[in-house]
Order: sequence, then structure tokens, then C-alpha cells
Amino acid sequence: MPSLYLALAYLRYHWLKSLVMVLATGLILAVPLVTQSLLTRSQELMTARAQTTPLLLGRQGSAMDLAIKALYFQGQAPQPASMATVDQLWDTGYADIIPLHIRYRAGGAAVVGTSLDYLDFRDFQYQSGRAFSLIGEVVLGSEVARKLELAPGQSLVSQPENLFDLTASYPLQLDVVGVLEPTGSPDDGAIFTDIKTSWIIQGIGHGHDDVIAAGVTPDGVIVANAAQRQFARITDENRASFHFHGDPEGYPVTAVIALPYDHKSKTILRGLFQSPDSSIQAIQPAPLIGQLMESLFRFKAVLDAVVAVVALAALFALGLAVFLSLQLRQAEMRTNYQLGADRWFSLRLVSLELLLLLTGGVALAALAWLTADALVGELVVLLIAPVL
Amino acid sequence: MRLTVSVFILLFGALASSAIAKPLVVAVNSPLAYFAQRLAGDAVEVVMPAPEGEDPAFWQPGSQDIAQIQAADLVLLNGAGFATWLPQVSLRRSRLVDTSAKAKDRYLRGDSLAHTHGGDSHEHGNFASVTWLDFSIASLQAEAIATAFKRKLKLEGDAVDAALASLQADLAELDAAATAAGAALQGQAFAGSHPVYHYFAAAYGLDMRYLHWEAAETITAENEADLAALQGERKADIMLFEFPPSTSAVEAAERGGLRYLVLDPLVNTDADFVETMRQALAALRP
Repeated sequence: MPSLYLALAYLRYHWLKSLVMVLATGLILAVPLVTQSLLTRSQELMTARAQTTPLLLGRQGSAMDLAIKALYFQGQAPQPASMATVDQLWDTGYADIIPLHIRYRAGGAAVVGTSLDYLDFRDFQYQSGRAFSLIGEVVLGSEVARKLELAPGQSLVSQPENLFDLTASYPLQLDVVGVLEPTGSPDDGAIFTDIKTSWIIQGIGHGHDDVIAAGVTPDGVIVANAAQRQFARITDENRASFHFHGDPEGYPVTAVIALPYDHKSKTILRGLFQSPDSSIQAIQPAPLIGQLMESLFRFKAVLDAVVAVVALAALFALGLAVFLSLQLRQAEMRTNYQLGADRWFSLRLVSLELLLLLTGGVALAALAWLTADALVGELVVLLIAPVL
Repeated sequence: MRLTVSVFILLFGALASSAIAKPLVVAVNSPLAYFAQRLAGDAVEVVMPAPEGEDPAFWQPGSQDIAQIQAADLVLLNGAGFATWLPQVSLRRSRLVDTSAKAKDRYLRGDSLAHTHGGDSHEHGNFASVTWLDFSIASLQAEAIATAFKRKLKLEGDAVDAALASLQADLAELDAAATAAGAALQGQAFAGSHPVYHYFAAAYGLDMRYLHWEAAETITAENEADLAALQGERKADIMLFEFPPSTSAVEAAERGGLRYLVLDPLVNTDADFVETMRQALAALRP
């Protein structure tokens, strides 16, 4: 196979030109493949999450805000509903009810206050540690644990909502007791805790620490030190002193997931909140997210057209480069002929070179596509989450 | 041969059935544990996790207790703020049963005086929580447990209903006995050694005020001063103790001009609730 040998030798000798050709071909092929993969997978992920959440309830307002917040922990927080709604739903006996409180952040991740039922509902598996069992304990999504380099036994502090509001929520130390296995969903980027812990961050519940004594007066009165702790901490010593104020039915919840026992229960539950006077809305996330996906995919059609035009232009540029290269190699072709090569030899040689370049480009595109496919879960979370 | 096969099948069946774990039901106090056991019999394993001698209302569970409670198929709560550990522990709401939810509009305010006994300082919360001493509320609590057994543990409905009817009949009998005792004690003013009789007093018409005495412990000068203050406001005739009082407590009550009776709320005991309460109510009648 002298022509293969010579083709390889040529490509090796002109390695920079060959590399550029392979990269260009690879990119032309990879961009639509990777885009398609990302969009398809993101649609699957978002739709699957919506489909596995049969019914969402929250205060009247934007249904999309409610769905995005409750399912993906992103976007504008809707006006909170109250625990009275949770109790009302439990009392119907038509569904298992999971409250969600998504208002605060820690280490940049959303703190999702909920009940252990949420961990069962999403079927979480543990990379290490266990579920939260006491107030102040948290379980980290895999991505949060990786980014913050945290493991069970360590802790992080909740972020104040507003640095300039001295009356705002007081930061609370959150003790990590578990890290979840990756799920390829927004749960990877969240921190889960008991909803009571979220209420403590919000200031509805609190404990009583002994003051830091600066001294004692001669008549035995303890003088407190003016020094304040920078954040609250729930310890074995003060845990029992934590309690909540106000009517428990008034405690806030961002959203409520209802898991109806059957189709009839779901229909009845939706019916309960259909009245225009109802302060609570009940939404089915799947059709809602379906509509959002349709909008995104209308955008995808535009993107496809742009990619096609760019790919065509790039192909023309590549064709021109090949043509010009052949023009420059006229003398080489003549020499081959004079050395005894038949008239098809030059055609075979150039064809083989192009085939090898194309193979390299395809291999590169395949590698990019496979890599994107393997990382698509994380990429989708990274790319889509900020948009939401 | 046939006999051998039958014996084998019986043995295998017994082993298999013993290997199938019964649903675990955790009750936060002994009356609820008693109701649960009466309603489900051997179909469930009922546990009241507070150790002997601890008041389940103020007991703090350790990590092993929490693990057991979290693993339970059903956790029977008393409601009305009973069990101060509840706000600190994460539990599956789907497995919780607030047994007094249907009596919420009948909750009574307790006092909120913080005090110490046995080295353990605690504060009685906003609601009085010994709801079961109003036996009509106890009956509602039993009904809530029966409903949860049928709905959540899928126990056989007819058997649970029959057990509930029997238990409610017993509780109705206790209600009648308490009503009779209350009627017989009309005109007498009571001092409760501990604020645990709100529901009993309200349901059966007793004029009751409270001290914070520990019946089994030696009465202090401060305890006696509290009694003197209470007697100064409105003279009580009878002191009602949760447990048979110590000699010190009896003498202090007598010095304060009171005779005493005992009504144990049976909050942490293995005793038969109905039978023990029947005897206690009979002893209340003059």
C-alpha cells in the first residue's frame, strides 16, 4: 500500500495543516451532535422530574415560578403558603404530602427544608453518612459536597439573606451528616434539611444559650459580655432548648408536593383548589414544563438553522483549502507521474489523505459527543440552572 | 409419613411467620401504647421508648432511640404539645398520627411555670397535654389509632373495628365512673400536686389549682410556701397526687390542711390502663 504510506507521510510532514483540518472537521460534526445531545437530555431530565412530581401546590401566583422553584430550586421564590395548607392536605387523606421550604442558601447552594418523606420520594442513596435526624443536621447533594469539599462530620453556615438588614435571619451552623450519590438532577446541587431547621434559620424557632459572662457583681448578678456569636449553633447541650413561636399552622412553606394515592384522589385534590377565590393553586408540573420545553425547542429550530449555515460555510472553507492545497501540489503530482506512478495514483493518494483527515475529524467529534453525553447531567445542571 | 409432612409444614409455617417482621409502632406515652396494643393485638409490635421512671413528656431521646423511632412504621403522637423532643427530631410525616387532632378545639391552656425536679429543669408548655384523662378525648385518640392501623398498616378492618368497639366501651365506662366521681366530689376544692389534671378537671367538673410538687420526693420549704400561698388565695380541701406520695409529702399536705387522693395518669407504665384507671376512679369516690 504505497499510496497509504505516502498519504500518512504527507499528513505527518504537514502535521499542523493536518491538525487544523481534523479539528475543523471534528468541530463541524461535533457542534450539532453535542447540541442535540444536550438539548435532548435536558428535556428528558426536566420532563422526567416534572413527570415524577404529580401535583404541586403553593400560593396563587406564577405557576411557572412555583414549578421551577419546587422542582429545580431556582428562580424567583413564590409567596409562601402556610403549614395550614399542609395540614389541610393531610387531612383529606388523598395523598402523602411533602412540604418544601426553599428560601435560604449555604455555600452557594439552595437549602431545601423538607421532611424525610422527600428523601424517600426521590429514592436517594447515600455516598456517605445518613439522613438528617435532628434539627441543624443537613444532607448534601453530591455536587455541593464536591465543590465545597465537605463530608459528614464537617459543617457549613447558612448565608444571611441580606447583609445590611440587622434584623434579618441569623446564620445557622449546619452540620453535615450525609452526602448523596449523584442523581444527575438538581438535587445534586442542593442541601437538604428538616423544614424545622429552615424555620430556625428564618427565626421562627430558636434556642437559648447561656450568656457569655464578663463578670459577677458583688451581689451575685452576672454581667453579660457584649460579644455576640457570629452564627447560631445547635449543639447537644442546647438542642432541647430549641422551640418555635407562633401558631404552627402559620409557619411558611414555599411549595407542597402531593403524592395522590390514585388518579381519583389526584382529581379530587385538584378540584379542591380550582375555585377562583382559593389562595392556593394546584398545578400539574408535567404539562407546564412540557410547555416550557416546547418554547426551548422552538429556539432549537433556530439554533439548528444557524448551525447548518455555519457548518456549510465551514465546509466551503475546507473545500477551498483542499482545492488550493491541490493547486500547490501540481508539481508533486507531476513528479509522481514521471517516477512511474499511474494516472490514478495521485487521485488515490489525495482521496486517502482526505479519508484519513475525515476519519480523524469523525473520531474527534465522536469523542466530544461521548464526553458530552457522559457529563450531560452535570452540564445540563450547569447550563440550564442559571437560565431558570 | 403424612404426620411427618404435616409437622414439617407446621414448623416451616411457624418459622416463616416468625421471620416476617411485624410493623413497629412507637407510641409517645403508655396510654397510647395500651390503646395500640388493644386495637392490633399481636399484629404489631408496640414500643413506648421512654425508659422506666422518665416522664415521656419531657424525656430526651438518644441517638439509638431516634433511630428506632425513625424506623417505626407508625409513630403515635399525643398532640397538644406532648413530648418536648418532637420539635428537635426529624420524622416522616407520612408515618405520624396525631391522635388528638380531632379534639384540637378542646385543647386546654396549661401554665408555663418553669421549674426543676430531679436535676432536670423543664417548663410546662402552652397546652396542657394529658388529654387522655378526659376519657371522651381518649376515645377519639383510640379511634385515630384504629383509622391509622387500617389505612396505613392495612390491618384487617373488621378485627380492628371490633377491638375499637370494645376499647371505646371500656373508655365510656371510665368516663361514666369519672363523671360519678366528679359529681361526688362537688363542692371540694382541689390542689393538684402537678399540672396534669386540666382535662380531667374540666371534663368532670373539679375545681383544681396546681402546685409543682414531686410526690415521691422530700417536700422542700419552697414547696410548702407555694402551698401556703395557694391556700391563702382559696383554700383547697384535697390534694391530688400523680403517685402514692412520700411521707414527707403527706405530712406537708396535712400541715396545709389537706387530705390527699391519688390519680396516676399512667403516662409511663406497663399497667393495664383500663383496669388501673377503673380502680383509681373507684378510690376517688368518697
